[in-house]
Amino acid sequence: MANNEPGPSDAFLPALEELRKEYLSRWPEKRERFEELLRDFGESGPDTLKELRTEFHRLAGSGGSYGLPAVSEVGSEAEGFLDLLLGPEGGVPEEAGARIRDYIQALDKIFSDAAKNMGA
Amino acid sequence: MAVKKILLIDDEDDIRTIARISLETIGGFEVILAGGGEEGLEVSAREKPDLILLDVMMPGLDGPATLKRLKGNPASTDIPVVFLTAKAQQMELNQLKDMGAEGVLTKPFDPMKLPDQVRAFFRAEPLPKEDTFNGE
Repeated sequence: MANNEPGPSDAFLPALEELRKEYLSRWPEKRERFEELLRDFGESGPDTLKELRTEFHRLAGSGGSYGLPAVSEVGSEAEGFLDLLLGPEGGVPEEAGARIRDYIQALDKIFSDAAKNMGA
Repeated sequence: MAVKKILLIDDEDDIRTIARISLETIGGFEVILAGGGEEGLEVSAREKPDLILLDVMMPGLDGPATLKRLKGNPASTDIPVVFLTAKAQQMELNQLKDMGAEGVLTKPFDPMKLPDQVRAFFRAEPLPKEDTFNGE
């Protein structure tokens, strides 16, 4: 006999939609943090690179859980790039700042498109 | 049956939020939160969770260092600990298991599946001992 009682997963779905909207709404705050870190990128030391890596790492870990796998992919790729810069054979080439900005722009587009689709 | 209590130690708000709601709503677990390793040790000592979900990369006391402290304390040594990591290279997964963790879950996780994945890590509870029949 079919059971039409709503299950726990049904109760979770509306909550998940709300969580997704909140996640999207927090992107400008995260973007601002990236801007702060990039402001003096040319003169920045390893601490700034580590902070940037942490921010990308967080996006890599969370995006997919909120239905945005592309955020995780870009976050993970950017984290890998910063791992290389921080590695034993690292160093900060001139184009590194531009590449990090490219990652942020890619994230901007993903969040912006997702917000439009959700009406957030 | 008693509700299982899970301690989630993760420095990332977004992860704590979605994991808590998933584990509570779908899984029926009780979830307690800590934002870092030191806080996690305090909460663990106070709340005595049935299982700990532990982020690997955290500022301050990171996941592996937190696990070492948990396993070195007789009060928490038997609590199963499952790492949560965004880096899923096999070598790292094996290293994390070798540290004494019950297992590893990778981030991003699917919030619809997380409760079942966590449930699988609970150790089988010992069967109640049968009363001994003395024959008389």
